[in-house]
Amino acid sequence: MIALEHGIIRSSEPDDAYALWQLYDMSSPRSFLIGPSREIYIPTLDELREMLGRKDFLSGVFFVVENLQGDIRGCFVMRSAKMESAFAEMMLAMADESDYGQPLADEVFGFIAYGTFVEKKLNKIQTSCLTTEELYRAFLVRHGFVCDGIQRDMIYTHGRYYDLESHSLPRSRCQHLEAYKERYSALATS
Amino acid sequence: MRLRRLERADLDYVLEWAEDPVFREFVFGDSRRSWRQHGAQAIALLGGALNSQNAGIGFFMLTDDKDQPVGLAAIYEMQWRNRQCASSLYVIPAHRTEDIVFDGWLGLLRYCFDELNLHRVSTRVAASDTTALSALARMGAKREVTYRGHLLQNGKAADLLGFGMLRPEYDRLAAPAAAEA
Repeated sequence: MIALEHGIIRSSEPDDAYALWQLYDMSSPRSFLIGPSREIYIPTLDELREMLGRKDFLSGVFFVVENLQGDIRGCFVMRSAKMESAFAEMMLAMADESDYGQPLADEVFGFIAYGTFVEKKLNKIQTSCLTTEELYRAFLVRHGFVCDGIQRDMIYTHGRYYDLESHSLPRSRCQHLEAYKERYSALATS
Repeated sequence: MRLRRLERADLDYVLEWAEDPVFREFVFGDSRRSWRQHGAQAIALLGGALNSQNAGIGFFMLTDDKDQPVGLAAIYEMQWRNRQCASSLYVIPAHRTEDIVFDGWLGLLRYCFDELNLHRVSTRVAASDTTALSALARMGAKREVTYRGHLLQNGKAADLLGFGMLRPEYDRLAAPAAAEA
């Protein structure tokens, strides 16, 4: 468990299934809902519980973000880490789009950057957002991500196609990396 | 140019092409990977395509008018809900001209749009592959994404370019060809 100023980060547990399931809100399409097959995927509660009980999840590939009141406000996973090219794909989902403007989301990103650039020594974080996710996009840009381009008509949901914007953050553009290093290496050793 | 299903006898051609770094890049994504180390994995992949029940997607042989193999085409990352897929094309060095690459892509697009009834076809090409880039530009495929340093070429990070073609764009491309026919 990593204690932050505005919440905590911890590995997921099967008991988190119901709280995480609430994040799969279909009322507005979000890039978080895009599964590994690049299609919008909504798991059932049982599927999610089973997934969180898997050995690889329990050993810490999927993290949960809680606020100071103990409510789950998001989750993140770094997937498809391609070691040869030294980059990883970030999937960060906050409970509500407005949460991306909160200090908790910034702290979570600091931990992700620390894990990727310092602990795993990778060179790049890759992520994508729908062009309609303006607040998530603003969050990415605020943290130094650059837009690599827009793939047109990539996702079909809610009766229409959505464009998908690819973003990447090379190590050289990661702001405050030194501060993240100082902060999270201290937390990891404490 | 013609596209046809992969047959067991085609694996001999695949072994012949293994010396070409462009082919190793097509199969493994990195020309440095040696066939000796990873060849079994590639053969298993292609062999799996032979046994696949879903003959509509996977690997296809690109052949000339005399049914001589000149390359390999792949359709992958099929997303039926989004009605789209990713594709890639390999053409042997002796035939690697813009016209042949163009014909190969056109055949692949025809299959994706006319047979599989897709809405979008994507492809990713190394920024250094000038033949493929000019063929795609001639075709009217839109360059959408630049994945910086995404690819390893001879041990060095290189850019990968993402292209996409939507059905209305394909219809515009195919209309003159259909009128000619």
